[in-house]
Amino acid sequence: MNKTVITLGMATLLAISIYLVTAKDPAESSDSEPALFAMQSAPDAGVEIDTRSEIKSETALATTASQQLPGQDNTSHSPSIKQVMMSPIERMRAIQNKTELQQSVLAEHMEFSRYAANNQRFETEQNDPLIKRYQVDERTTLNEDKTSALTVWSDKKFYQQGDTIVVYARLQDAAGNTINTEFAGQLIFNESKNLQQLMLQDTNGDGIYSTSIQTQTDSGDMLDTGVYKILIVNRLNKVADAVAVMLSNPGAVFTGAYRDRASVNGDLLIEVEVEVEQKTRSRYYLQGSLYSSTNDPIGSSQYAGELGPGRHWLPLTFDQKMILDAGEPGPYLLRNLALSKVDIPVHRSELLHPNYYTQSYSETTLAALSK
Amino acid sequence: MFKTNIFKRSKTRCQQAHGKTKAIRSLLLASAVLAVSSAQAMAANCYIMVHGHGTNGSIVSGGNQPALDYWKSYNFSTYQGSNFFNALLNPGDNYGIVGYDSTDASGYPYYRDETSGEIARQIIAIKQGNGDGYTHPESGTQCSATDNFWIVSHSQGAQQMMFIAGNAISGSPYYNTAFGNNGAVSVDYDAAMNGILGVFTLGGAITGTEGADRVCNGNWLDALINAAFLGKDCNDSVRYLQTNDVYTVRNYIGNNLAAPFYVMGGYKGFPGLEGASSGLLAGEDDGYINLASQMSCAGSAKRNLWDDLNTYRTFFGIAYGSPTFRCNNANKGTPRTYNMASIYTDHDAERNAGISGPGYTSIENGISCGNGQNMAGRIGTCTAN
Repeated sequence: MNKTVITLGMATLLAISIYLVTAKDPAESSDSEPALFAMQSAPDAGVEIDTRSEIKSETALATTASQQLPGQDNTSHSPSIKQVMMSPIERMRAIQNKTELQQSVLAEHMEFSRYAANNQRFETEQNDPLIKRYQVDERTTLNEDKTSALTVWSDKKFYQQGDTIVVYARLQDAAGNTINTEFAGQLIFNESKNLQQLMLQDTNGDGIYSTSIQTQTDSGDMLDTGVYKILIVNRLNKVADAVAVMLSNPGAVFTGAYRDRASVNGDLLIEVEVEVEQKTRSRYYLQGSLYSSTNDPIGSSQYAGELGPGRHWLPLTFDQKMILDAGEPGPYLLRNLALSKVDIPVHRSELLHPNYYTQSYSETTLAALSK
Repeated sequence: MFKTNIFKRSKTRCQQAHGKTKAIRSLLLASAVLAVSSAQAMAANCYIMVHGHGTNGSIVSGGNQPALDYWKSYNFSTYQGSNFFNALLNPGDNYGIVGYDSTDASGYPYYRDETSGEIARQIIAIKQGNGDGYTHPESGTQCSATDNFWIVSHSQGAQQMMFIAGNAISGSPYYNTAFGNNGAVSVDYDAAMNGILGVFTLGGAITGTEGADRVCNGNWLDALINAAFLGKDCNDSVRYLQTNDVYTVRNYIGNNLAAPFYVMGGYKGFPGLEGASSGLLAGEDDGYINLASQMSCAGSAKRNLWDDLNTYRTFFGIAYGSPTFRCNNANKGTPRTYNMASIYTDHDAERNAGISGPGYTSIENGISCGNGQNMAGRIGTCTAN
């Protein structure tokens, strides 16, 4: 409360001061007064608050110069009250003895706000968000007396109707040696419906046991879409765990058509054509990752929107600065691509590797387009 | 000629007087600017508190304020009398309580309007300076619209904030969307996250908990984990707390988060006999949540993570050699997620600051301000103006 009173008092004093300074004086010439910005010693004190985006981005100092109080001459260089109100990031910058966290927040903000918010720069393939999202979920569980460890996994995490789900299990002792044993399995749908018992077998004697689940019967009937859990139990060692996979039907497919161009801002726009096969409108989510033609990672982008039946061109915009920072000339490779129908649970397509190369944009071409 | 000379002298004196006035005015303005800037730089911190599982935070009635009391409640009597705010708040700091229904009886998972939707709406109201609707025992601690905003989230609260922040950027799959009984509803996650400097997660169930796995998998139900806390059936709120990746919140967010997340993990088991629950969780844990989940590590939440956030080859449980995996900032499962601290505290003490000076382990990319303090104290020290 006290701080609020002080701040209001200071703001009032400021308003009075601005009025006194800018009041018309018959003997004054319009270009005789130096810019008041020069007298401000607080760093970046002139940055305008944009309450919608004060953290996500900051308005450049130069663009706030035109902001003024009512009645001011348009040629005046006097700042408005708005100009001297600081954003949370600016307030943090003004702290004299910043803590390590505050320094981290500021550095992170600078890095994040360098690119469009829906882009993510990554420097190694393992940090490609699409690779991470589709990575197989391998899980290890110890039994209660820690004498053995059960590891389970499936060959994929997201399946399409008609796919075959393959599940694996391995038991190891405390020294890490594989144990020959028996496993029992149970297929459960939607956490509530027991569908069938499963037998896991080690077909080649390597200690890895597996079972397969057909999602389409011989008569062509499909298993319902949803989450399937394969509970795997080793009764001898009293250890159990479950693999959970999603059987999807996104209701849309990639047509295989792509096109690209540079946007007016100098960003790289790649458009991907999809065909929505289902009859009702749904929300769809597209995510793609960009690499150089020599397979060096650049970054990822995303798009989401409502789509009705038929063909659509969906945009993936890759920030010009993100591409320039990677220091790689074109052409660029759209290497990983995935489409999802946004629902609960989410229906994901296969992870696609379109092997699509863009036109040969040079770094200077993209940079020049932004000027 | 005389008249001309007089005119010239008059004009000079006038010009000199005018120049002095202008200088005084400019000095006055500069002082005011500096004063305002200084006051702005020292704006109060506002901590927006998002509780975890098992609390009906939608109740606010007289002295019955479960969402506020969450931060001083205790499951273990050894923490009786502890209070998160005693360790968190510096003079002049404020806080806002967010209350939502995270009970098993209601069974609302993180994507529901009753959870993420309600949390987002309350965050917006708190940031507008409208107060949180709770009676604070600490007088004068309601947030104002000019505060510096931080979010503090515990357990399931961290999962909730990950969903909100991960869908607050245009182009995200569930952008500004939650789900009610009749399908999708519009919620302004974007506005909720705008202006948030950072999100702290304390014992966050970011990639779930094995406790939920055990409830849902239906095998040897573990009586040592407080069944009343997790619930006895696999309702949606427990289902989406499992460690299987098809359920984890990171599978339901977009490319980026709207604010940075600073993750803190606990690796002390519960006091007394309840400490046996740790034996049932892979890797280090805080009694309920695997450390790999708390720290949002890439890969499985069941990683055998040690307190230094590394995994190792083991021989009869003894680690040896170089790390086989390092949960540093480069190996997170979610974007804009950063290590803050790995602390010798349990899931209960994380939210009530019941252990005042816990031990800790140095971790890669850790943040050292507040070393030696509990999670509340670390936040207060590291965010002090």
